[in-house]
Amino acid sequence: MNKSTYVEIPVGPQHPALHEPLLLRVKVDGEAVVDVQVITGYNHRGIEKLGERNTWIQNAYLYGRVCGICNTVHAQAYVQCVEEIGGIQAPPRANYLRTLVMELERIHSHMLITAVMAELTGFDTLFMLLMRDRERIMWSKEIVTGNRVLADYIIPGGVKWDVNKDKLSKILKVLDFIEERMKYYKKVIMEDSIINKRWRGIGIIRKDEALEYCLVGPTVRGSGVKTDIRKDDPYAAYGELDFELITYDEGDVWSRMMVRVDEIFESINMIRQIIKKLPDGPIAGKALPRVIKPGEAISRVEAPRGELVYHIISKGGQRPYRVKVRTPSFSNILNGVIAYRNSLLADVPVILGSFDPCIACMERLIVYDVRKNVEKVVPIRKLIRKRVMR
Amino acid sequence: MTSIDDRLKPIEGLFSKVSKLRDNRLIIETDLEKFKELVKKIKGSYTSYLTSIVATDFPDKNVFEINYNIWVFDHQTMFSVRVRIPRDNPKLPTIIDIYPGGLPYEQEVYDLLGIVFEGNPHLREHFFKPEDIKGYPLRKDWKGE
Amino acid sequence: MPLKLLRETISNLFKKPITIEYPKVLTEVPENYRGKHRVNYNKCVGCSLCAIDCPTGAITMKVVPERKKRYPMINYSKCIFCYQCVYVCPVKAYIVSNDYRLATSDKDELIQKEIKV
Repeated sequence: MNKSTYVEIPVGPQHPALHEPLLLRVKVDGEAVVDVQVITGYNHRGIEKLGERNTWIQNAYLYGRVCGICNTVHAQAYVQCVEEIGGIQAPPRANYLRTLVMELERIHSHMLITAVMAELTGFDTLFMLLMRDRERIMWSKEIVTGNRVLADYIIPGGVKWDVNKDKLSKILKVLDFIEERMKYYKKVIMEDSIINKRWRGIGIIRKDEALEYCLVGPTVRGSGVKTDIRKDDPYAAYGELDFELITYDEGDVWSRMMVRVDEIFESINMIRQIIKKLPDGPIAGKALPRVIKPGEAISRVEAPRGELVYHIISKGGQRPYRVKVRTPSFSNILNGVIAYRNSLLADVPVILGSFDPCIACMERLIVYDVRKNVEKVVPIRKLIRKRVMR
Repeated sequence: MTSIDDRLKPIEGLFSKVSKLRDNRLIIETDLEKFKELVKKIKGSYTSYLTSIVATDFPDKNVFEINYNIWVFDHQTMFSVRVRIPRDNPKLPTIIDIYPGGLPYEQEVYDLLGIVFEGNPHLREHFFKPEDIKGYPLRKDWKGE
Repeated sequence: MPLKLLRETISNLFKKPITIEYPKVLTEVPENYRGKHRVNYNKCVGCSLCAIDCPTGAITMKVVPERKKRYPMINYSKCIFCYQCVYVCPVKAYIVSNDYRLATSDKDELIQKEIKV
């Protein structure tokens, strides 16, 4: 047999049951956490350098694959920059369809992080029920774009495929079902005693430090800062929709998760408005020329995790000169070490999960006991099952 | 929207040129000597936060160009502070005493482009790069293996 | 109040499990799922736009002497099924389907090596 028939499965720093790898060096004194250092770089793919070798249209598919869960917002941010440099515009129906797909993605991403947080606190039943109900949103995305996860739907000039009345009525039925279930889950999160003991008063970030340390997204909205790019700097069809900005004031893990749960209800209302107001017309305007003039553009969009910034410099030609991507998890995880003060060792996975880590997650921690001067490696699974002594 | 001169009144005299990409994106160019004072004045006069640091290599003009993208809430505008430094001596002062959240951004620029931020004690190589990649990949004359 | 999900959990014990027993029962996919696509060689004019635009370089053009034209050959092991080739073709020469069963134990099977017109 030739070499291509052998399949290799590594079981290394990337654990099959969890997400991507990250390393946290936690210094403890007994049980209390003294300091945390974040070590990353296991997954560096060189996407910024690779973008300089592709043409403008090939990059629309490459940058949609930076993140699997928020792939439509990455494509939207890239395409917004390119349309600004190239001098073309998407028609109104395309803007509404782009917003529809981005809001569907926000719902499924928030359901996913709520389920993962429930699992990290040991509440496996809530995790399983949320994941079962999330499948219906993935199915709605599949009937609009053709795939459950990676949409490949947004290109410079518009969108690729259209919807009809049949598909829209199916999506409305799914939304009614999800709204009923989420009301039940919200009641569980607000009243359950395990969740209240593990989530309230943990990992507090004050309002004045939240902006100084450049944190973004639901992380700062849970500390009382009123900022949302969909309202400050509207793009796509958000300028014509009616929704509320959700903030909570306590600044702990519970308020960050409650911001996400309430945003699910706002997204459901937004999709209903989109379906009612969808204008007629073409789904793609003038196509992007293959050679673009020199220029520069900066675009910001609101991903489910926070603010995403793309800065593209073009020197004219078929390829970009420099593409810079600043993802929200980059700021949140690396600057979020201020939230681990005064916490116990078993709270560290819960605090890390409340930042919604996308590009990286946990494989294991290195625990450095300051008193005994000893360092050992502890898997995260073992920390989750430990009982919290207060 | 207020005019561009009104928005820039508190930081007058510290920059050399202003251009705009669109209504709420302004590019403010300045020299190396006045740059740290300008950033300190922006932090003091407006409610703002640093969104990103973008560094580009221009080997034909022999400079590195570094943009500090700061979002200002008072005028809902992005101020993009732009500084150019010579390519054979890439050094400039750090801003982590003004915006402490800029530390990972400076670490990434040092790791991938080799620009030294004076006054930042946490810079180290291989923060993002894997261990077997040598040199500074985002420079235009980097030859990969 | 503890045990809020108890009623739901006990009623789930008496329902059918939600797992799909693939491959005895096939998963239902919608009609517009992006599955295996192929070229209709009677409509293709050989413009090569699909090969130029492909993000991974999975399409190569090969000259067929009888018809004196180039035709595309798809390498499914590199393809990401983005359907940019289907979208950009000026004569709509691609035939789409929702076939998702492409798993194989020999990667050579996925590379198209000859053109049958």
